[in-house]
Amino acid sequence: MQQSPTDLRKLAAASVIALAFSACSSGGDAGSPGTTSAPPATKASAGEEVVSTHIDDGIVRVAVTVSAGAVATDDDRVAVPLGATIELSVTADVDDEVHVHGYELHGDVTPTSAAVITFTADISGVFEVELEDNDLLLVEVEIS
Amino acid sequence: MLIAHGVGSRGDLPLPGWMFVWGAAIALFVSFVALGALWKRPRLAALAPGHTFGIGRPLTRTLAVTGRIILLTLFLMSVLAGLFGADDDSVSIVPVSFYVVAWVGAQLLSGIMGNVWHVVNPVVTIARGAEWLRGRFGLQSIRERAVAPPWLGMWPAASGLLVFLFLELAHPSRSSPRLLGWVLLTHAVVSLAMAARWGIAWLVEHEPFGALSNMIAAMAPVRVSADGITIRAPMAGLATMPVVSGTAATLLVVLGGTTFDGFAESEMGRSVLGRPTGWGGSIVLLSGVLVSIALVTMLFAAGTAWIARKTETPWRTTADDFAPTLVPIVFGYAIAHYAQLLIDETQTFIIRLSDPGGQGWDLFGGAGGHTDLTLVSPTLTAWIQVIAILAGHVGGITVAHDRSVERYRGANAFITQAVMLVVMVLYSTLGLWLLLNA
Repeated sequence: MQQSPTDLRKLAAASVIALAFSACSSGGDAGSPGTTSAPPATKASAGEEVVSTHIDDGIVRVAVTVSAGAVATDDDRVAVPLGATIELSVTADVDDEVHVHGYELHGDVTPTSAAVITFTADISGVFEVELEDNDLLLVEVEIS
Repeated sequence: MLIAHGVGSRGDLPLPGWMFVWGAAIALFVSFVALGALWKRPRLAALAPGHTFGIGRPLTRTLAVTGRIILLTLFLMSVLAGLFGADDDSVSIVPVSFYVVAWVGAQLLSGIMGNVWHVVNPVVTIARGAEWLRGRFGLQSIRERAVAPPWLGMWPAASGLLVFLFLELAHPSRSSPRLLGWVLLTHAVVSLAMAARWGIAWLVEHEPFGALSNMIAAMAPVRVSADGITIRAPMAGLATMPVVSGTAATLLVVLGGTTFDGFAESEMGRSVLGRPTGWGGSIVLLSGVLVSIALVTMLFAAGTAWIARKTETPWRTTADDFAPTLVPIVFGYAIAHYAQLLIDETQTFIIRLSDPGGQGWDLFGGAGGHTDLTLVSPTLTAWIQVIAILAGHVGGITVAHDRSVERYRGANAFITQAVMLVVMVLYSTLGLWLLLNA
């Protein structure tokens, strides 16, 4: 089955477009590794999930406020140096369980009491913090 | 791949920026050196037979039988644990034996130890057992049956692996021990039915995972046979690797799947895809897998189409000629992508062997153990990732160079490999870039 030159030209053109597309997206995201290392400021983009981080007495305090059913924005990644102490506090309007993956830490949250999980960041990697029963990603913690 | 609770629960750290820059620079530099300085006459095919060290049939047979017993036991245990054990991925061995041992582990084994997978593949062992029983009862041997029709080529492998990628990357219950138990059983039954129709050769050459491990085994520096162990130059086997319709497609499906997984786990992937859940999310993820396969395929298609045009060769021929160059790229990126998972979850696998079904057993005294996520430092993991990508790159360009000087002369040989080098540099840079953005 011989390909005609026209077919080949079309295919080459399509590939160039595809490559250009991937090149553009790489250019656009080139800054993202840099932005992850800076502690993100208070965010309320969806109006329903709020993540705020501040460092206080050498403890990285991550506060998450969430309404059940809130669509996680998922661009919340908090960078924490290896060995730091993290205090994670989750406030929610439902009964659920907060789960820190990898570290396998759990904490109960109710509408009247926040889940507060304090731990030493002694394992490197990217870890999800999830609102278990609602299957909702709250924040990713990048420890390095 | 973030499988679930307790398995693959840690995401990869982004590759340090300087490693990305150096990795990409070395990939480019090595490519230019290859273009100018490597051999002018094909050499790999002559190196493919290698040197065989006879270790005697009794020893090879003992090793093979031991391997078969171990793998068959693990297989039956995983099926039973999946069907009858706890349907809880945080305690069951099934997601670990399925994704980590059978998927990633078999690829790693094939890339290092060659065709060992066919010796120990539990489904092949069951087929051989069935054939032995037929012989005992004087029934017709399945070996005398027809072989698979040639027009099938490697398309069953390519489509089978696509179904697997859907399960691994897009299915809402991808880590359910019950589901995976049924998948293992169904896959074995379908494979054995195919073997009954088209012989045991089906399992070795056409069954999707067998076909993939066959291709990866071609690059390995080791081969095993009934007489002993053959040692040969790495990549040499790729020069004599049989290529049929669908071989390149099979490799591109796997490369596209791994590439999508790398993208989906990155921070930017998260913002593009959100966090797809349920069957709706499954459609989003499957579309992503297909787009990713289409992109890596277009790159290979464009490169080989260009070569076809410049050398006035049919496109089909150039695509087949250069399909083996994809093997080291696929293998290198798979190792880089799964390195962390393999290091972490091999430990989980050993722990869960004591209680495969998560039912409170303690067969070997390991139950309740914890996976040590600090076993390997993040720096070492990053090195493994970069070296895997670069080794795959060097392997790919070596095979491309050898194939170019084998098929073409003079200016055409130069243009051909220059085009393939560009393709390889783009694949490797994409791989490194995804690691950078993990």
